[in-house]
Amino acid sequence: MARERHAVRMEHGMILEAGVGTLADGSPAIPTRIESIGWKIPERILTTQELMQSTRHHTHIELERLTGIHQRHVCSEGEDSYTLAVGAARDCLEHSRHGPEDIEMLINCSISRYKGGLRHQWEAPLSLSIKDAIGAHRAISFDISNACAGMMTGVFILHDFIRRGVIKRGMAVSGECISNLGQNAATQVRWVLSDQLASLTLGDAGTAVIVERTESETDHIAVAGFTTLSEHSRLCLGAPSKVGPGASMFTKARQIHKVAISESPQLLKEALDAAGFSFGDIDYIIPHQTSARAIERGAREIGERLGVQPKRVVVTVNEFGNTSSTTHFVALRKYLGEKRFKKGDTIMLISFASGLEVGVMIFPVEEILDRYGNED
Amino acid sequence: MGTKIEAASTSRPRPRLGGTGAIKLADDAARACLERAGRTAADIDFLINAGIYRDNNIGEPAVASIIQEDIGANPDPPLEGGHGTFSFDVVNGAVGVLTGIHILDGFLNSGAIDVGIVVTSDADPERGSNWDFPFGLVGSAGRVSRSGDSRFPFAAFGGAVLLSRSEDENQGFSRFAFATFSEFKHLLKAEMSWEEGPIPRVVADVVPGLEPGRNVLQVDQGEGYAARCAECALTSTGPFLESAGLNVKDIDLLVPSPTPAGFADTFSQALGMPADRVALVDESFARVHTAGPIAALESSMRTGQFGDARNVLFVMVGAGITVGLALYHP
Repeated sequence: MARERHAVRMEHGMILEAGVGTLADGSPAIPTRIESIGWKIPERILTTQELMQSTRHHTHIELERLTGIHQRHVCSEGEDSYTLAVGAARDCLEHSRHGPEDIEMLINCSISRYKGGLRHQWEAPLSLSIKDAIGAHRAISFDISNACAGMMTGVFILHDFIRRGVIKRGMAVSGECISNLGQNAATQVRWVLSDQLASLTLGDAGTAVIVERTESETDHIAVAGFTTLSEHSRLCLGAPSKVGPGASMFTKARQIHKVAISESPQLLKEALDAAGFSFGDIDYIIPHQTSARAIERGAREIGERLGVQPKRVVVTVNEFGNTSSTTHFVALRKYLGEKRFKKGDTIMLISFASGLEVGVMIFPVEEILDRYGNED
Repeated sequence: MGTKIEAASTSRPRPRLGGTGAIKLADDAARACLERAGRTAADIDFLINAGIYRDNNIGEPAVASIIQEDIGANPDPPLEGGHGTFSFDVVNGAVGVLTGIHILDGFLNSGAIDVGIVVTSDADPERGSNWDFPFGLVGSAGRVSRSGDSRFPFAAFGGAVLLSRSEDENQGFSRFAFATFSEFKHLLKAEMSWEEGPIPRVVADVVPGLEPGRNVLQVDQGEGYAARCAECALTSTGPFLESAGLNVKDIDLLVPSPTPAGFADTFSQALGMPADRVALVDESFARVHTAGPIAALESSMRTGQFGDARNVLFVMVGAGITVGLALYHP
């Protein structure tokens, strides 16, 4: 039995876990679903025009035309990664059937871990402060770091723990306070090919998601999977800044986009096959939000490779900028709040992140819609 | 069917100008671990890095992906019939290695992977810079070297532990538990923040637009940290053993965190474990951080204590205070 599964798995480039199936010991896997999603968006808005007016050099970069990003929300005094994460976790709990004491595992997934201003906390883990703040006292807690794929990685870990019956539900949470990278880049960027150009696209946001076990035969995560194309691990690097408070990020964005588009179709097909779907079955594709132009071009190229164009591709980067590990769940929370989904719609999250991480998650939206006022 | 430990290995800095960065330490530990297990890097399905203090304090990408590329664990896109490797970082202080093992144990038991590795390393981030980074303000080009920060309290070590699925249902990890005691969160703190100060002229000339100051890592360990760790570990261990139907006499080998200094002795004595059933490390590991648990494990494997035991109890402590417990059957 184990040998048969092994043979199947070895055909995959991705580590995949389907929603149904058997575990290594032959016992059935428990289906899991996304039960609730929360967010915390800072009120303050910084338009792209304002940001580009603040650059130290005359860059002649038409950033809004290049990226489609009109604005991003940015932290004000008193807001940081921690407050965004806690705010998102509370919003998530408000839309959940569960209370904080029901959370059995809490994973903080942000790259930025600022608490008390731009003070990056390496130890103790930020997850400990978050679980204290929301009262999730029973939860096992730890932080992970996987660049912009952090939240999806957190959900992947929860999916694994729940489907084996180790826990019944858990929360992945992230507060990304990264607009300071844009401020630092504004002092350095000189022209459109600057390796800090991508920093000017960043915005701040917090998101949280509760994943739970379910007995539903349809309303469950169909597949989740990841792989790391690490020969490209050094194409994007972020570190504490040498030019000002906060961090700086250096990116070879065109190379990342090229690799993501060339390598991802085969990987997406693996995930679709494991879930028993075709690309045409997906109602909403939610890719990582870097640039509206890049998303549209990438979706078209992937559609051509897979032989069918996607029905709908969600773009929220124009309003929020690139909010790093939170982008997929910002988009989901926005669409839930705006009642854009219909019951039974199938969602596909696609992550392209520094590393180079490629992640996929496919799931329907059914019961979750009820708690966001959807009457359909 | 459990998750078995195939091999464990630690690494130390190579003699070189400016010291060895955390990434190279992790690379060395992973390679040594694979060699000890008779495996190649291509066998690895899943790689977790649990180190905290890394080259240039980089936050992106996950350091695990850089290690994956360095050691050659399927860095290329998967070919027909091959398989890829997934990697990311766990950040959970000195308990991070056990958290990484806990996660890998899950994916091994689900049947999603066959082989996983947890690697870790810490080194003074300002001494150990990765010279391979291709960007001016991160890598070597344009970077102004600074002398090591004397406030960095940990010694540079790397570690790796290779895991796979055992066909013997009585072998491997059988139980994990984690507990946090946030009332002691202040006893070990590490933060990176901007400290105002003059800019060296050589930097200001090369990089205009700098604010006067720099980001500085500050690590503070409060008095009584080791004693509080021992108390928290003791509080957690009793219920853990009880839930497994065991008592202290049933434990053949205790593998405690070697640091903070004094923890292993205080805890093992309070637990009532005879000294000859405790895995200890030599003095050279006195300031080890996240690689500590692997150092203790490697030591017990070398002496034969580990292989001879029926029940091994891992008790890890780290900032939080977080206590991690695991029961293993060699």
